Amino acid sequence: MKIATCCTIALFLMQSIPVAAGGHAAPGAQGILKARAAQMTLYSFNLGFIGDMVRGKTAYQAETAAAAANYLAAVAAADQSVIWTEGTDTTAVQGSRALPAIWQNAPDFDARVRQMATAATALSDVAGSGDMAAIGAAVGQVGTACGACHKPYRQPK
Amino acid sequence: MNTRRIVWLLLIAALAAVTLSWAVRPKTLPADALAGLTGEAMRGEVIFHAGGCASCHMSPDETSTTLSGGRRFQTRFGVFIAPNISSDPEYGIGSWTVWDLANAMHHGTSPDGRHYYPAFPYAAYARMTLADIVDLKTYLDTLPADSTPSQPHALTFPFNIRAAVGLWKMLHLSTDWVMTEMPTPELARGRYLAEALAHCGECHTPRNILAGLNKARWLAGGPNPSGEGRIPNITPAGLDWSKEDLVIYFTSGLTPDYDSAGGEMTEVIRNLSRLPSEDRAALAAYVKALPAVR
Repeated sequence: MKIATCCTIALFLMQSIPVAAGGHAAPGAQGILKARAAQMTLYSFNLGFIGDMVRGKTAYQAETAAAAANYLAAVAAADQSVIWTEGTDTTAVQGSRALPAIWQNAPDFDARVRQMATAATALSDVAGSGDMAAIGAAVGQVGTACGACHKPYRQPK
Repeated sequence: MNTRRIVWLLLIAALAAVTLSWAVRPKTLPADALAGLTGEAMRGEVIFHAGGCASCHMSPDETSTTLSGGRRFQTRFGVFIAPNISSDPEYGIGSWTVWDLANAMHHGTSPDGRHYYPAFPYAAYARMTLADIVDLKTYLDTLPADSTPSQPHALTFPFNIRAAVGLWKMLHLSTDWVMTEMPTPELARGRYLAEALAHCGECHTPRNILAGLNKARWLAGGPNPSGEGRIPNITPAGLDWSKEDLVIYFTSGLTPDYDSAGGEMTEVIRNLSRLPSEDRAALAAYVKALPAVR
């Protein structure tokens, strides 16, 4: 009996916390935002590893370039459906920069996410080759894929 | 005595009304303003990209690169819908003379003598050289025609009163440079690109209560003019990138920490990436030379 009461109170609290924090937010919305930011951080970290080599800010090392590119390609190709949950857009969650258009044009959004994976795979194909022109071009293609999603689907800060 | 005073007051009021309506009328260039200028399409292509014409006037579906218009811009004044500026003689601007284009770009005046709304950034283009407008026209004439009809804007009262644009022009339209001291040719070129062509200030400078750019806060960021969120401060108070960082950003859209451009800026990058590299360097030099505005 006591346990049941505790459970009821706990359930009530779990339901009320997100409501208090973010208005209409679905449970765990802030966690989803964090996961999306982490996904983006892994993109920029790995791309930056190779980008700095292309820029000459760091010395080119084939193995690390290949490792970073493979990591990038893996996270880009992962099924991301759990972090792009409907109801986590700018109108629903405080701090979200994901525009409602993502869910209004879901097939287009998915195609742009896939394009990111394609560009990242192409980079991983050349990252260890030492051909800086090809690597630079592939980095540029990944950058274009980033922008292709950020143009229609990310709100300015 | 009283009647006489009223008559005088009426006369003064009528004179003021006539003077004001004359002052806010749609203006045009002298008929011979372009005499002796001949256009060159290749130079015009650089103007076209630097001026960002396609960003607004291209087809909204992104599958077509024709300048069919139709992109919608939701603003606090209502919805602006970019018109067709393709070379189609009926639905585009193919039948315009170069003088028509120069009046549009320098004075915001249409060939039929009406005010254009300043969503068309002629407040920047007014600083363009006439030679550049002639080159631009020559290039525009080489682009494909499209027969999509232009749609009227859907503006709210009182912004739907087109004559009021004359007042806006009287207050805000100026060919003076914002950055007055540009001591090197590179900086002067950067200023020309930023203030006359690329119209950076239209989004990166906040507006005052009368919808004019607040030049005291030049490029210091402000509310997004067509959507939610904010456009960043790109003066040294808000942006500490090196000149090389800026050039790379203008070329690739990638920031020094490998984030990417988003929103309208992706279109700006697409345009800037097509310019000669010296122009991207000049623009970067200009941004670095801005006074810091907090």
